Order: sequence, then C-alpha cells, then structure tokens
Amino acid sequence: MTIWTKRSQPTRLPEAAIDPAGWSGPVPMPGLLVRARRFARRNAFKLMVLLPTLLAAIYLFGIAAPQFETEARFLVRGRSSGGGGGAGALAEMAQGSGFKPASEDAMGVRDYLESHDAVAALRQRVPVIEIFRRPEADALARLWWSDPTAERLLDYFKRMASAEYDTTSGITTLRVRSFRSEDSRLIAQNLLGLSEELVNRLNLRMQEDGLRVARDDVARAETRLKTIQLEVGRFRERERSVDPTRSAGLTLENIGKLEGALAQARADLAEAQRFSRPDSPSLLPLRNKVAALTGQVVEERHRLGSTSEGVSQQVGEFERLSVERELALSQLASANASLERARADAQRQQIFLLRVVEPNLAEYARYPKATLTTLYIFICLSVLYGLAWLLIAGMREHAS
Amino acid sequence: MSEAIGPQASLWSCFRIQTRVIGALMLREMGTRFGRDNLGYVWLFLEPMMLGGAIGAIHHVTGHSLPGGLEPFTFWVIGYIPYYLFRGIVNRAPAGIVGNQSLLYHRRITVFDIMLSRHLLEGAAVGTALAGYILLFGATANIWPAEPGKMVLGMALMLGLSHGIALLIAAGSVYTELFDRITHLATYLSISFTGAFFMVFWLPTEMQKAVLTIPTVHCFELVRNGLYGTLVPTSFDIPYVTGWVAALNMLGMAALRKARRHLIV
Repeated sequence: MTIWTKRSQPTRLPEAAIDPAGWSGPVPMPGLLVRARRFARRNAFKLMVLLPTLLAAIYLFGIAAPQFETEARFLVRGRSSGGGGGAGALAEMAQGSGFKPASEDAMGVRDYLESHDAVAALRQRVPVIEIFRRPEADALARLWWSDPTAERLLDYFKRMASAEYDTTSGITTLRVRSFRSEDSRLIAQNLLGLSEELVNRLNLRMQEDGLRVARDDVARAETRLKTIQLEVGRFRERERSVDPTRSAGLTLENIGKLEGALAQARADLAEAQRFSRPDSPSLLPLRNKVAALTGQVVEERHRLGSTSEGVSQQVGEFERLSVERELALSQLASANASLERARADAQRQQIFLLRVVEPNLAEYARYPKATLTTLYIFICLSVLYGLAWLLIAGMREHAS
Repeated sequence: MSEAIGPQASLWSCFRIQTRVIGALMLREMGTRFGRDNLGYVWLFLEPMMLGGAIGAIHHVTGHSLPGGLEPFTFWVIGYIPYYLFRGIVNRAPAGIVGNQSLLYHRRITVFDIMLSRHLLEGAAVGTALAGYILLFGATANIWPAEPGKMVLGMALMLGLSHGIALLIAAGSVYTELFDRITHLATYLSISFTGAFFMVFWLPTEMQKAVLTIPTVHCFELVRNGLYGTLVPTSFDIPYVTGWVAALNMLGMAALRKARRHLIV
C-alpha cells in the first residue's frame, strides 16, 4: 500500500515581494480590525473560555448577594377513591408495579403554587416586589423592574420558588429563595397559608356540589307535600267531611245494622201474623217498625249512592289525595335520607393539607453556589470551544 | 490553531467544500449499501419501516394494554424507530473506517466526513421512515403529532448522541478489533434501558431519577411528547441531552484526530 503524503507548499515567499537583498519591503502596519482579528485568533481560548469564566467568577464570588433558601414540606390527604373509566389501565399498571397513583389533589396544589393566581394572592399579603428588590440584592439577581407586569413577576417568582411533588411519598416540597432569610420564611408561610385556603375552597366547592342536588330534592319533595296537604284541607272545607272514607264506612255499618233490625222486625211480624188475625191491633206496632226501618234503609242507601250528596265521589277523590300524600311523604323521606348520605360523603371526601415540615429560618446562604457554577461554566465553555475548534480545523482541511 | 501556510481559503469556502464532499459521500454510500438492483434506494427507509412495523404488529397482536391507554402499535413503532437510528449508527461504526479507508486517498475526504455522511444518510432514512409512519397513523387512526417540531428535535438529538458515540467507537476500532466484537452485544443489551420501550412516568420516583440520567431516555420522551402531546406525562431535559451531545461529539472528534495518524492509507 502506498503511503500518501501531503505535497508541501513552497516554503519561499512569492518572488515579487522580496527585494534582491533578501529583505521584504516596508510592510504597512495592519489596520485595527486586522490586528484585533489576529489577536482574537491567537488568544482564542483565553477570550472564549477563560475571560467569561473569570467574569462569572468575579460576579459570583465578589458581587452576587447571598440568597437564603427556606424549605417546607406538606402532604395533601383524603379522597381515597380514584376515578373510574379512563384511568383504568394506568391504575391497573400502577397496582401491578406496587406504587400508588399520583394524587390529583396534591398535583393541583403544586400547580397552584406555581401559578399567576398564587402570585397575585401573595402580592396582596406580602410586598413581594419589595422583597425581591431589597437593597442588599445585587443588580443581576434581583427583580429588574420596580413595577413588573404579572408575567415577568411570575417568571421571576418561578425562578425563586419551586414546588415539587414526590409520587412515591406523596409529599410536596416547597422551596423559596430570597435575599433575607426572614423574607424567605415569610413567603413560604404565606404560600402554605394560600394552599390551605385553596384546599378549603376545594372542599367547600365539593361539598356544595354534592349537597346541592340532595338539597334541591328535599325542597321539591317538601313543596309537593305542602300542596297536597293544602288540597286535602280545601277538600275538607268544601265537602264538610273530615274523612269521607270513614263516614262512608259508618253509613254502610249503619245500613247493615238497620237491615239487621229490619230483618228481625220482619221475622217478628211474620211470627205474630201466624197467631193473630191480620187486623189484630197487636200487629200494628210491628208493622210500623218494619215500615220505618225500610224507609230508613232506603234513605241511607239513597244518601250513599246519590250524586248530589256524593259520598262515593267524595271517597274517590279523597282516596286519590291520600295516595298522593303518601307518595309525597315517601319522596320526602328518601330525599332526606340521600341528603344525609351526601353530607356523610362530603365529610368523608374532604381533603386536607398536613404540614410535615414548617418553613425554616435559613442561617446560611446556600445560593448562589459560586464554586460549582464557575466550574460548570468553565466546563461548558471548554467543551464548546473544543467542539468549535475541532469543527473549524476539520473544515480547514478541505482548503485547496 | 496552526496558521495555514499557502493560499488562505476563507472558512466559508472550506465549509462549502466540506458540504459538497459529504453530499458526494452520501450518494456513494447509498450506492454501496443498496445498489440499484431490485428496489434499490427504497430499501433505505423500507428497512426501518419494516422492522418497526413488525415489532409494532407483534405487540399489537399480543395485545398487551399499555398504561395511559396508549395504542400498542403506535407506541412500539414510535419507540422502535428512534432506537433503530441509534442502533444502526452505533452498530455500523466499527466498520465505518475500514470499509471506506481507500477513499482517504483523496485529499479532501477526511475520516470525519465519511462518518458524518454515513450518519446523516442513516438519519435521513430513519426520518423518512418515521414520517411515513406518522402519515400512516394520521390516515388510519387519526393520530396526528401534537408538536412535530419536538419529534424532529428528539430525532436530531438522538442523531447527535449516536454520532458522538459512533465517532468514539470508530476511533477505538482503529486501535483494536475489540470494539467490533463488543458493539453489537452492547447495543443489544442496551435495548432495555435506552428508554425505547418504556415511559418514564410508569416508574416510581426513584427509578425515574435513575433512568433520567441516561441521555437517550430524554430523546425518546421528547419524540413521544411530540406525538402524544399532553395525552401522557413525559419528562425530558433538552439542555441535559445537548450537554451529552456536545461532550460526546467533542471527545469523538478529538479521538478521530488522534486515531487517524495510525491509519495506513
């Protein structure tokens, strides 16, 4: 195999530029731009890597204001039952692999803590902007605007405060940084308070939702019962009878008794007629009794069946009303029962926020992490520099 | 940087020459790998499509239900195709220099150009296959990608990672044949933890943290996020992967520069 070598370039400079004595002519001083480029090319590593690292180090070690971090942890508990339907496969998988699915309530609280809503609520309680623009804060790390828009404040807030949710333990960790440890604690405490309020609002909402339907049911049953009761009252007034069913029963009983007496009287009359003449005066009272009883029975029957007095019609209407009243009563009872159940459910489904770790008062400013950050910047820039150098060197090899 | 002696070509013209060289090398690579017989260049993207389709179909037929209610076929295809990119590039890396050594006879072709052209070709092939599948999903199951840009970014980061690893392997294979022997084994074993066939949110928190240190996992999550959107929770860290890509590529290019002195051309 032949070995290929680069054909070397002529080492001599072009003839024209060299005077007979071997000296090059007076070379004009190159322009500022050219000199700057040459300088940059010769000191590329220093300019691209060392200088930025140095600047960062000066800022981080010398200028940057200390930032104190406070940490709080809390649990969001309750609502043991999971959703159905769509999450089925996930829940199945989750149970199979032995860990419980994430609690959506805790996720909700975490999302709330990093939202514009929380920032707006916090702003009403704590002078957030003042806290992030303390005089000891350095110009780079502090909030740049004295009157920021909500979006800018939210962005800055997200950088200084974070909420993390751990799916295995279910604990949410809240971390807040600021330029004074008291400020950090104040913000963290207020954030915790805000999340507690959120949880309470959620509870209230949930209860309201659950109870509203049941309460509506109860109210509807009550009004129905009331109307029917009124109707019954009006019926009684109109018909002048407290209980037509019972009075009809009494009438029937009356008729029965009268008919019994009539039959007895007839039997007595028949018996007396055997022994005496038909015109015997002893038969007269018996005859009279039979006649009277017959008249009474007819009258009573007439009263029961007649349309004008209308005992049977009264009974019909009264029966309808009382059936309706029974229905309304049972509806009210079941509505009351479901209201009770809903109330119990709401009680059971309540979520609450448990504080596990109260926000602490930092004694040592953990941020900014100067050494680590400087090292990180140096390594990143070095890698970038190496990459660029290798790429450019690779390109240069294609020069003809 | 060595001050070039002789005619000073500007960096821009050098760059243009390099792109032309790489383009030509890609064409040549296509010819040597697939030729013009039977289907020819179509195999370029038909191969990953067939493999991805087969894997997807197997899991579709077996009918395991996936957490989050994902369609098994799309899930396996969307996992397998980026993995095919990774595997294809890394597995072909040890043969990259040996197979094309004779090309180094030409002055303007460097080892880096050869490797890069091979990888770009692979990327284009797999990208086409993925695009084909996305069209297929869209047409049949009406699953259109939520954010196509994220899918492209995920594939690009995957390409960058594979490229860096392949450069290191290629450089190593100049010195010893060990890489040739081990690479296939390593890529085979890596299937389970590259993140191709699981999603991060399936795992408990501790496992998630461990798994997210692997850069390829982020790429797969990114591609899935691009396809599914917010249908399933995904977790990825683009700066982290970019850091890996930068570091691997720097090391790989430096290793290649070192290794080419030992090449006998």
